[in-house]
Amino acid sequence: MKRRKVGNIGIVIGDDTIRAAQLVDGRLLFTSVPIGDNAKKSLRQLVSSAPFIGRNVMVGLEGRAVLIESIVLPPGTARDARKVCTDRLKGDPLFSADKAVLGVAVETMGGDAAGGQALAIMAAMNKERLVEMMKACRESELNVQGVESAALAAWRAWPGKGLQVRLVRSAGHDMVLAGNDEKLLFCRIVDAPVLPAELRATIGRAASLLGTESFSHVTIAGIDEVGRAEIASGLDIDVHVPAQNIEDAAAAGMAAEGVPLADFTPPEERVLREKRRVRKVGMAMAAGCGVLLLAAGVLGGQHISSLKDRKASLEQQRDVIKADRQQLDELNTRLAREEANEAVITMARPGHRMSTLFALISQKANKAISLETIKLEDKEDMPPPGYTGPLGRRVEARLNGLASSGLAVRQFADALLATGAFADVRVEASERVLLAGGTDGERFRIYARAETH
Amino acid sequence: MKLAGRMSMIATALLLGSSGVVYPLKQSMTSAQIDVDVLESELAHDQGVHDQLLAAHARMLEVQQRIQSRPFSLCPDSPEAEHEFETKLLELVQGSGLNSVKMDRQAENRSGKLPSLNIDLVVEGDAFALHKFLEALEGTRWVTRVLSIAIEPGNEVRRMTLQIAVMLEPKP
Repeated sequence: MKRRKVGNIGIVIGDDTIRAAQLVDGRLLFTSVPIGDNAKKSLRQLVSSAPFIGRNVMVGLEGRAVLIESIVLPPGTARDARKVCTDRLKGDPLFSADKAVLGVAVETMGGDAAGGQALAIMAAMNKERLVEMMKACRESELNVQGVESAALAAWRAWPGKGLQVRLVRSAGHDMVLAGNDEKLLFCRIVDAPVLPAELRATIGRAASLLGTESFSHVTIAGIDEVGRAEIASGLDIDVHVPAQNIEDAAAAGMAAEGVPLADFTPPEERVLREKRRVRKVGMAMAAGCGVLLLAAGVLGGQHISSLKDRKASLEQQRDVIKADRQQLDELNTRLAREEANEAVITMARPGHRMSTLFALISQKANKAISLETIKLEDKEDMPPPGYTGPLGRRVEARLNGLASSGLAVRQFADALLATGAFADVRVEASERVLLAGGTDGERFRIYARAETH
Repeated sequence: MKLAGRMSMIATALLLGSSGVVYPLKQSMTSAQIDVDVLESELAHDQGVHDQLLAAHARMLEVQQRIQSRPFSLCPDSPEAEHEFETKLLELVQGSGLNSVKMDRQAENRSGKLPSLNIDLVVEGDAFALHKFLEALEGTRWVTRVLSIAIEPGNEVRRMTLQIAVMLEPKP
């Protein structure tokens, strides 16, 4: 959004009217309201009667509350101008030292060192009226940036070059202003309309004070074309109008930027102005700080939120890993059990087949052998002291029976050994016996051992 | 108080106020960052768990396939499985032509490395029936071991006492 270029609202408080002007984007706004018994109400009405921007005002007084005189100081008395002016106003019912505020602008012609005469513009402002107006401004919530004489401010209404003289009609008064470039050096206020002879004399006096024979032209503001024509007919110099249309030169001068010739701003208003500046800067700093804090809060909040999201995501991952770890532990336990089972199966599976051993014994016992008792035992080896590993096993066979002869017993034992299933076959006992029926026989006891696991 | 002093005072107040607002925010951020760092560290430490789990699964499948591919296994250590074995044993006895005289179930042997259920079996029959019974017993899917065979004197049909052990699964 484009920022609008606006200046202070220039307010001119006269005897009967209050006028205002403001420069907004190079265009001057003017308004005017009659002043009533209630100055505050009038001020509020004034400010709201035109689209003014802001509450900063420059207040200018004119009329009975202000006295302006151009005086010539004798050579060497420029430094005592204020005293001269005070002495001049002594005893005045409205503008004596205790009843008015004095402002003096001094310009030494030809330089102070040259010791030439000095021109002074003395402005006195009635204190009572000033206080009343300041109170009205404060109550209307207007920020008074400065107070000066509206007549003197009229010089700033439009720019000019070189020595020049101007006639400004404002609020029933005609002001003859003369100066050089931007500097006002002469001011005389008379009741309007000024007579041509008086105007001519005043312009002539101004020319002489400014050190010139005459002015080439007079610039007139606030007077219509007919009035200008009348004035022009009574003067022997040209009559000009300002380049831009100046409806109210005093208000326009108050609204224009520039250094007041005589500043009447009361000390309390200066204090208030300082306070307003402090408040404004403080508010700006607080606003900046607030914006920074808000930004920091938003960014920090976002960062914290992001960290919390990340934390939640990580916690989910942690939970998944925790579940994985628990599953892994269970799986490892089951795996260890399965592997143990596998080892147990391998270890538990006998290294022999008892059916085979029994079949071998049965097959090798031919007609010459009669087995009475057979005892097969699967025994575990005795472990050596301290040994905890898998133990070997052995199958022991104890065979008792009768044979036709001792040779048959030997042949039976040899046949068992020859099978390769037994590692050791021993005939533990063999004795000759008489069998039933009167035949001889051989009673035997064989021990055989098969190694296995 | 001068303008600069007032400005300084306002600036100081704003600075202190801002610090009061920003400090807790910073603390919260630091705390949250620490939590995240700790979690990341824990996760980095446990990064290999998933791979370990997959490897353990693969190993488990391998072991289970190996066990399942064997024609024999351990008898589950449960009353139902033990009862099933006893029933099967009696079926084998009858199927092989032996006559069951007595079957005693001994206390389970859990003291050794290989827990087992031992059964004393007294039967009557000839050698062929016994051989058939032994073959059938060795052909069952459970790992069994004939701990002893004692054949008493007699003619064709004899009394035989067998001690049979079936290997049980170790308890976890």
